[in-house]
Amino acid sequence: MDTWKKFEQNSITHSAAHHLMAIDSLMKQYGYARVSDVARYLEITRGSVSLTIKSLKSQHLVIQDEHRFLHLSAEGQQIADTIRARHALIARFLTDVLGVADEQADIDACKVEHLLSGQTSQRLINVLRFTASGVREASGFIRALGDYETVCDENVEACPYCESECLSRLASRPITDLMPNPESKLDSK
Amino acid sequence: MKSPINVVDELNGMLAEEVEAAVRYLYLKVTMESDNGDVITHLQEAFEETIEHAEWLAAMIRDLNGVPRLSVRVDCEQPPATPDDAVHDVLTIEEAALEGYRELLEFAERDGAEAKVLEFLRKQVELESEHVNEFRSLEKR
Repeated sequence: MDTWKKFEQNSITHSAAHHLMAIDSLMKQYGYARVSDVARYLEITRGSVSLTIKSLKSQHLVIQDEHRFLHLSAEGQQIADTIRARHALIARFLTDVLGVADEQADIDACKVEHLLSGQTSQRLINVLRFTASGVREASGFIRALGDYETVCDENVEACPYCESECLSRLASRPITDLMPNPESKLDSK
Repeated sequence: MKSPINVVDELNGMLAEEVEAAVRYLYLKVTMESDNGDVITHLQEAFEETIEHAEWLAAMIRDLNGVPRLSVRVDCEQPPATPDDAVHDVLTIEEAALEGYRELLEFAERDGAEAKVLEFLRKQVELESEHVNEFRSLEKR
């Protein structure tokens, strides 16, 4: 399972995706975007933005004119639009179907927006359209899902998804809770 | 009418620019092979000068009764493919710093900042211009 390694080689990094979206937002809001505007928008240094823009220029996703104003190429615009749409889709799925709080849904959508495949995005659209379709089974499904949430009794044998341990219990823990506490390490010395 | 800038906040922003740049120059230098001695020397000088600029910025912030604050985020995971790439990266960073000082000077002049701040920023613009020219000439070789 080397899929995780391929994330690292993604043609567009998470940071680069946010640079594209920042340029797009600034263009829409002010009609122009310069390196300093992008730096202020993303709250990072000009040097960092300049290096990322340099890479995006070499990939023909960003164009810098003779007055140093930044523009998205057709491909850059397409990527910014796609990532923004995927972010919105994931966030809507998390809030509307899974019942995740808005703020958490936005954070989690940000984490995966640039990695999601077109196929999964399309299936997400189908799920969202289905749940909003007014079809009786759809609204029944959402209601039943909400009601089912508290039903998990960590009975591993009876669950079709759990393996040797309860996946619900393992997966719902925040990873930060699992990190070693540096203070307790000091105490044990 | 644009709102007046907070000089200390802006100088802290430039402090982050300088410290990030120094870390990047150090990274570029340590990824170079020893037979690229000329480029390594320039990177070492750029690193030392950038640290010096960061110290001057911190001193100016303290002189204005401010507190130097540093929030930096540097990812250096991709070594430059060639010495020319390293020089081009430095040039990109130096141009960004020059642009930052120029913009800050423009705002400070507009807002009637203290003479010592204007003098400091003019000196920085001059020095950064020299750095940009130095790396431009290195790039052209």
